[in-house]
Amino acid sequence: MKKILLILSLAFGLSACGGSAGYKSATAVKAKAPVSSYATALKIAKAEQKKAKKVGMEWNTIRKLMKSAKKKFKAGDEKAAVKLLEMAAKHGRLGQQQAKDQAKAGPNF
Amino acid sequence: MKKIITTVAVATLLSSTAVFSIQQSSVVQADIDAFQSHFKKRFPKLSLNDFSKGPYAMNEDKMSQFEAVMEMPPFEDHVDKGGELWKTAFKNGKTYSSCFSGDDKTIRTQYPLWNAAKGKVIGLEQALLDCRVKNGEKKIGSGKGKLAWISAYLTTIAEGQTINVIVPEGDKKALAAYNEGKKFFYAKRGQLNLSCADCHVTNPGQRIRGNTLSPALGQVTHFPVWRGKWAKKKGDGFGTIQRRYGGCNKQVRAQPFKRQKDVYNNLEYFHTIMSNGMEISGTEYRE
Repeated sequence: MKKILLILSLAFGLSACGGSAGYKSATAVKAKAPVSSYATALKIAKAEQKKAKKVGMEWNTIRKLMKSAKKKFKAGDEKAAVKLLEMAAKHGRLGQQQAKDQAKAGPNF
Repeated sequence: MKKIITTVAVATLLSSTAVFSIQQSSVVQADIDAFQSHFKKRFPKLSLNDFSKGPYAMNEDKMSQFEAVMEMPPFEDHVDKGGELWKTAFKNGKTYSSCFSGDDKTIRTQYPLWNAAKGKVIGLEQALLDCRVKNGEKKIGSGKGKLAWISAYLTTIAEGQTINVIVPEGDKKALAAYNEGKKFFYAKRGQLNLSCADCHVTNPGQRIRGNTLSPALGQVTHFPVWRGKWAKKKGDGFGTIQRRYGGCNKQVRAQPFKRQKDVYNNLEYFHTIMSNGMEISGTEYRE
């Protein structure tokens, strides 16, 4: 009987720990949400676009992605809009990297 | 008195010689030689001027299509209109030709021109725009339309003249502008990570979807061109070389630059210089 009580109390204790851990991660996701809002993502994407433009390597995908993101946001799909803006920011960073890689571009003959 | 006259005459002669004998930068001349010999080695059957026919010089079927179109060029009326505009006086009574020196037939061969006073490259279309402003006229679009027709007229009357664009020896600013254009030409850009040279130096003659890639050598000899593609869309089918640069940049998914600004002017400077010694073939048809 003692053994059964011990196992039950252990099982209860472990499940309680598991529950509190799940709750914590849920609150963490909620806390992260404002960071990846449309406004923040747009600000980041525009900053990366500006840097890429400054080094003469802006991709023409960036403006299209921003336009599509705006449409998604207006339609109420902020998650999809943010995803597009993150892609736009990535293209901005890749453009900047491209400028560094091509700094010594020249003929190979 | 005789001595003074002789001294003045000699001085005048020497100064005029100095003006007209601006030497090509030796660095640039070495680039031209290397660039042109690359194409000559790659396509030994073609003469230097054959390259001005671009992809048509590399494919008999394409050449016969090109020749058929050029028998009755669909753009002749617009070139004639360009000629009329060139000769039509501004409100102040002057014409475009008042802004240019020398024979009208040789204007095209000198552009893009290094303007030492302004410290930048001036393309022919920019020179035409500057001329309008100088004479109290409004600016107009430079990629297509009326300005492209005038430019096409100047290209057409220059047929057979030799391209001779100079980077003056010892002029560091001019060489820097040329090098900027050269860097742009060879730098990979856009999401497709392709440079001008990837298509038009490394792979001319190869197919890209349904089209044949043209060689960079000789591309400048027939601009502005009349393109079937441009005629299908809104517009009259005419486009300057800087309009084409914008199109190329879009095709590799790079953001195009503004026309008549330093980036494309410097690119046009380098691009044209590489075809020095080739004959202008007049405005032509392209797909």
